[in-house]
Amino acid sequence: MLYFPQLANGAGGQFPIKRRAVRRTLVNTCVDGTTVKLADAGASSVEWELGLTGLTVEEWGRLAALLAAVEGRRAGFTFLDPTDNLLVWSEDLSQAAWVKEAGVELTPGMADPLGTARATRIANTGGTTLTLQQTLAAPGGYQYCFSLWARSAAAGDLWLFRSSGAGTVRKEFRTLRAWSRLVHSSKIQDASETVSFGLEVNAGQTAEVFGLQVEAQPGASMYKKTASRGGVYAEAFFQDDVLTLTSEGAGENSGIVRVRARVQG
Amino acid sequence: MSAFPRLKTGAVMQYPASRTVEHATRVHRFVDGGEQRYRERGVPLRRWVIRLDRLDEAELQSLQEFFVQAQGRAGTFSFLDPWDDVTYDNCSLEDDDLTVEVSGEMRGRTELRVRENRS
Repeated sequence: MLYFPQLANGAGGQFPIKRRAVRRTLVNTCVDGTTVKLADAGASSVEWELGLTGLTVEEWGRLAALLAAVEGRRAGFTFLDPTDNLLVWSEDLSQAAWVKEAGVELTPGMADPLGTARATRIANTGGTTLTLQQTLAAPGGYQYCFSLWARSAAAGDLWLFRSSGAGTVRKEFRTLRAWSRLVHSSKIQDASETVSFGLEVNAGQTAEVFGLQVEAQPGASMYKKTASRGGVYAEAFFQDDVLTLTSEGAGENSGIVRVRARVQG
Repeated sequence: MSAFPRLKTGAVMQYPASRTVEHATRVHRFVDGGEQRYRERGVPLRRWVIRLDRLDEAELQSLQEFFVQAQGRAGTFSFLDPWDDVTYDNCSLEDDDLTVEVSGEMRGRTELRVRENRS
């Protein structure tokens, strides 16, 4: 698998980033001004324009190597949207994308830290630690930041983990009555093509969680709700056959990269 | 029916904002210089250009979700015109694409064009 490379600091992009959502609508305009419209969902796509500056030769080399591997616009690669939440169904943990072990009970519609009722109560009714996780078709060796809000009626512990072929990186958090945002940022050496993110709940414990988010960067940004579509694009393409590098000094390389992906499903 | 999203402040638009009212008039000019004019539509149609700057990620997300739900210009929604405080129930986006530009934290920018549909 080919992946759009991360920068050396683990970021997927730099400001400014332009993101363009594209749809196609067939429109029949009648003489009296009325219109008949039909949405063509199959033609939906997303385009990104990444302005990259201050890149080292190695960082730019990784981009150039990807361009060479895909032969410009010809072949595809996996692109992780630097402006989006990589998880799908970030607020509907009952969806099949979330794998929960037997004994994990979910209660949606709980009050959340944003003042709405979109949080989920997770109860471990079993006798051992149980997990709830989602697996992404994304590189196992990238920098990721997994974040969520959590609270519990009684003080307890909640583990966040990131797991792929090379192993699991877990981090323990204390949950209290008040909402707090838990952030687990990690990077491991791993060549896996999938990576899982999830949480572990101790036996008999209950916690409320909200705003589960994974980003391919070191820190957590503002939460973005997702449904069936997350920020992992398995078939993205360069929009240009040429990658132009401007060098203004040692370690001061810059350029603009444009990527496009169809939106399916 | 969905409604055009508001910013965190409750506002729909920012300055500079544009609104146009479009009539459709057909004019026939005759050889003798006379003219006959008539309406092609019974009511004028309104258009708004909404330029938004310094948005945070949640506001940008809300606008992008709205665009996806509307399926570009295919969908219809209600739009509250801040000039006259009237809600126009049958409106659509004018474009099939939405570009958001993020130049830093809380520094998102986008532009949408909304039109009132002929009922």
